[in-house]
Amino acid sequence: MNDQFPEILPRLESYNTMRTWRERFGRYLLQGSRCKSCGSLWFPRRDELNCPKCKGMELEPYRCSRLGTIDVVQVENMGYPIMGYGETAPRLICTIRLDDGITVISELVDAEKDELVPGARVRMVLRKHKREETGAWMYGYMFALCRE
Amino acid sequence: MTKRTFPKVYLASAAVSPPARSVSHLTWRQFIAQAAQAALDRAGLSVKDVDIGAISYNERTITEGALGCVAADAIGMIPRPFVSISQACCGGGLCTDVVWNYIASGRYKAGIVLGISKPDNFDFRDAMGPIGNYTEYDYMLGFSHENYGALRSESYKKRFGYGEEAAAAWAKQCYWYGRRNDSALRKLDPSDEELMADDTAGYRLRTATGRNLASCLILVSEEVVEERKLPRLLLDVSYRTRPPYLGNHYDYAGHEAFADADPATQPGLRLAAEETLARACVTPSDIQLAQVHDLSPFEGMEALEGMGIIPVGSGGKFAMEGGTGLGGRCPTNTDGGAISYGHSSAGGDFSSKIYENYLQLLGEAGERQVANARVAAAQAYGSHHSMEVCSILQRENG
Repeated sequence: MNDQFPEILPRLESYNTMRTWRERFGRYLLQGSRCKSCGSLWFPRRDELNCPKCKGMELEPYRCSRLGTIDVVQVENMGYPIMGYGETAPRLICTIRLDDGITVISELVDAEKDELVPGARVRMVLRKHKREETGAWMYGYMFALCRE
Repeated sequence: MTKRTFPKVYLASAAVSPPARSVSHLTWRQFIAQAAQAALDRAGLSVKDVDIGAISYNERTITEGALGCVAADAIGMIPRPFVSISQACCGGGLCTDVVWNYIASGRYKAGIVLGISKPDNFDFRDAMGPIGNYTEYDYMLGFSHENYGALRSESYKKRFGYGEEAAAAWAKQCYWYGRRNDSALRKLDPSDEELMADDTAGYRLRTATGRNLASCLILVSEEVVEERKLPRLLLDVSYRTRPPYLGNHYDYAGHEAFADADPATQPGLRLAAEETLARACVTPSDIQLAQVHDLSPFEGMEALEGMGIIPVGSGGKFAMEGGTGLGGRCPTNTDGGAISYGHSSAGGDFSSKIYENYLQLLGEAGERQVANARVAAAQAYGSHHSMEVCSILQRENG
């Protein structure tokens, strides 16, 4: 809003903050679910959903491994940066096989493109994403190269 | 071929709207009415002859809350039943499956399947970009369905050892077909160097371009085919689902068919194809041409593999050796595909493929005609391979 256009402008790409808040444990802690019946692990969380494997509904919170290995990397050069992420383009997007067998999609940070190749070891970090509807910054997981 | 035991449903006719990136002078209602009338005229039918309808749409571009009644009103079908389905790019396939089942059941004799993509209702990026598969963990974390496609392509390249030359070969053949199709949107003739460029321009040349489209299929019973002396074009269709979050395309524990899969393979499509081919009493080797959903070339290759037309992992080699060309084993995307014809999502990513197969089986595809085409496959996916639809259109009795 500003003086010239005091009305609230619709933003089709925005979501209610409640929707972001509901997933805070997944986004901050990489928290998924473990099935109490069959032990299978899931991300995103599946609490109060059915377990795809045993079809039960007894799932408990599970902190996914924060270490993993890059499977594939994509340099985002498509010309369509997502709203709120255009300033950081080109971004590096990848799929990561976590040490516990779960696979996640994430942006890779703190490394050069040449370092982030399939097979490279990465660790979860918490980073700034984009602004929410309220103007507050949204934070969430990304992955960075393991340097030991 | 084995003896058919499933009911028979026929494609009486098909039509698509003319090529246009913008049709801003038309409402979406006018757009679908034009396609519907063209298809009905071609079959020698009137809207009075149609008992049931279904329409496929993207809810981000068409914001009416209950679309079936609006579509029925637009084409003068009130008060007959009309289903609306929003299932992304394969929505037309699901509408076809719904209408197919109504006719196969004997409840109705003729049905109309409409598809509408009207991204010029909104800014294109607002309309088509902010779509998540599992929104809280992809779109809201900065990943679009285009990222899904690019990661899937990288997965295919890594697993089977291909580079962009395979994608360029696929795209080049699509442009060859598109230049011979009046309905294609992007009639380009890029050089090999342009197609191989490792930049945004090269990427966009090798991948789909968006378009507006309205499409219409008319499905009828055998009784109507005989009464109206329509071409005997037998249609079969099936679909399957797969987890929406891309991470769960790896080693998914929820179904044995997906246990060893990754984004480079298409087990959902394989299941859909197995059912479709069994119904149609054909085998993959019977398929003479195919229209597949190639938002990227590698996804097109995966589709041919998922339907069993070529071995898993051979798609890049197949494209580079000319397998998708007119003289190849399986001429593919003879309308130009999403890369040249254009990607219209719910408007026609399934139905425009059926339209092309319809022209091919009637021998009306002009310079891109496949000789003596009798059995044609079409495939589309929605929500990035979380829905897979597969169809066979075949000329009955030669």
